[in-house]
Amino acid sequence: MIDLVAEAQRGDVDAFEQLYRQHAGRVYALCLRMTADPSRAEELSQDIFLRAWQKLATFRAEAAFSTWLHRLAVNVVLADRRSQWKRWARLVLVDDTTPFEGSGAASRMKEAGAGMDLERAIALLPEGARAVFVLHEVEGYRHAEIAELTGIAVGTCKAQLHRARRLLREALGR
Amino acid sequence: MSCQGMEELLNEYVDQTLADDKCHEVERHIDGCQSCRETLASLRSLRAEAAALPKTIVPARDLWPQIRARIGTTTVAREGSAGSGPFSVLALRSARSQWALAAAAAMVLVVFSAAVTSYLLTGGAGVIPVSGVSAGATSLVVATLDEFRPAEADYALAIDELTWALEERRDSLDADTITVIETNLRVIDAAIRRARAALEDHPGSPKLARILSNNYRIKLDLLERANNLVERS
Repeated sequence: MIDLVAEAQRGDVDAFEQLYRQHAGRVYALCLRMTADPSRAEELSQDIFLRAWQKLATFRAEAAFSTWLHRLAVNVVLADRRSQWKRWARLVLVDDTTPFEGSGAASRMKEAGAGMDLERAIALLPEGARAVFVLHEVEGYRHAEIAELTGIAVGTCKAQLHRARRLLREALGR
Repeated sequence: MSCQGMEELLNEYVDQTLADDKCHEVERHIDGCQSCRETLASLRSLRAEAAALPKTIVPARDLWPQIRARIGTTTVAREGSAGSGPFSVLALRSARSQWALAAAAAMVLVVFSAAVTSYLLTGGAGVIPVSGVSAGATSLVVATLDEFRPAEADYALAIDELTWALEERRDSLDADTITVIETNLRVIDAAIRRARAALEDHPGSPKLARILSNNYRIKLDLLERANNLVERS
């Protein structure tokens, strides 16, 4: 069996294309759910695979390539979020103090009406809550890992997750 | 709507992050509270549904052609080659900039090594001459590695952005220049690692935290200057 990663590490672009075909859906799913923006998700997906190509030499066979790629993808997505604000601003990923009641996000979720599915509801979450929810509930990261990735406190991470769940349950009528 | 104060506990309960005594408290409560039982069931349902969401979503269009175009002539960095390391594809043309970068990196290593040595030998009593930062500079609030982590995450992201920007704007491969840049970065990274280790061994030291922060700033400065040079080339 051909080791696609080893071949790609030796500069075989065709082998890397096969890796792309195998992992594009997973990467795009993460980008789409984190950004709630299909266009931006496509751009980020490209950035991620380009970064993976450039950093292939750092991949060690001890870990699964899919795990390595996914971690790289999470870092790229989170970095993109921060590049939208001042470079030295404190992370706003979770310090969103907008009260739920009457917030834009809550209004959008209510306006979406009954019958909204979970994917749609996740996309309407406030950014901070959405990011933590996607990383924890969908992607399976633990709070400590999310805290390390984002630089927020574990307690804040938990609070954002609880907030996300409350908003989603209300939007979905549960 | 669950009982006031119970929602957080119910969330932690479904996540199995509660201590045993709190678990028992929750279980005793829900035994007698239908509202909280319904909330618990709702949380479990939501968790299960989220975990069952498709792990893959196919993009509306094939992204490979654009990825392939951006890969272009980029070569994969290989271990042990002159082009290996974080800047395998970076090109700087100015000989003067090469010397400036090498000098800056060497300064970091020299200053840091002397500072840490002095600090440790004096039992923390000495004044640490931090490069570019006077003794009277604004003090950091943090003094332990854990407290420094949020700032470190900020630095890491900024460094990542600059590194990415440089890699994107490469013009041509220059093995000698790549070697200089990579050498400088290794020196700075080694200094950062030693500062982190020192802070971990000596928690509660604002001076060491300041050294670590300054080393990160020096790395950022190096990357920003390298970016500026690439812009002008």
